Amino acid sequence: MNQEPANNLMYLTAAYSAIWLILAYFLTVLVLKNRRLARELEQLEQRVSNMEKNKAP
Amino acid sequence: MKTGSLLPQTILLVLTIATMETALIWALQIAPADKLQGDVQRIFYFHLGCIWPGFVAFFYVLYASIRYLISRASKWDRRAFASGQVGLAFCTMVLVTGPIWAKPTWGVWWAWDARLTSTLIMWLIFLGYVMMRDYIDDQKMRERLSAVLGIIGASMVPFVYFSTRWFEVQHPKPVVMGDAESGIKDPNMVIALLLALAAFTLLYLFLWRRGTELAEGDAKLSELRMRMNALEEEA
Repeated sequence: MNQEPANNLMYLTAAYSAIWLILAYFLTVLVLKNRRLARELEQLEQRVSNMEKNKAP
Repeated sequence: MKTGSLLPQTILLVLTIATMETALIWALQIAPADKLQGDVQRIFYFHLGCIWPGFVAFFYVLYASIRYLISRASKWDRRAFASGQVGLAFCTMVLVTGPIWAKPTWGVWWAWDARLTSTLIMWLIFLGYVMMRDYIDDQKMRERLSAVLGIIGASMVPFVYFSTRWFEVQHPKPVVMGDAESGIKDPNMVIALLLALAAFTLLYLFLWRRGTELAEGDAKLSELRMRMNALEEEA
């Protein structure tokens, strides 16, 4: 052991903070992708359905 | 995007949060401080808690990639990719928390020993695995290359695990399935570790499921784009 106990707590806090930060980043990316995909899917479905309606005799 | 039933996912999410909170309380409050390392040893519970589900995630990439190569069914590619992404996130946590723990215990942030170097190589392979998909437009080519790279990356897992036995390393010997003298002895330490393992395994399942649904949504989007292009050509 090279560090004083007070320093130890700093490392402990840093490690646990890093885990939550990485997890928060991953979840944010997932949520943003989900929203973008939902928006794009809705728009495309609408466009395709309109085109199919127009095409029908 | 609304896909799949929400109830099992909500149950899984609630279970994950509850287990994670209990694991945190056990790791930071209930488990005793290590006699030699003091409080900094508490990093261990979540450091190891991340890597085991990470290994599971990479093994699933191996399984799903092999299934893809045999069947050429895109669903296996999507499942493998979702698992690889979560595995990469967990492996990142391990590579970040490891040096933070190493500095006060070894005196250095990093040692180029077999365990740390092989983990870094495995992380780089999966980083390439995740990034590569944005650069290849041809779907079949992307799926094939992903499967091959996924198999190569997942093949590193046994090497990473056994590296502490096969080589002289700075990293401690395995605690899980390790030698008799290398394990943790205090029951509260064991409970903290088991809770962290359970929490990250549940988190893996939740994130993998969400990731798979996203990949399925992406596939549906590509299908719609193709249909729209065909309709435009007809018009």
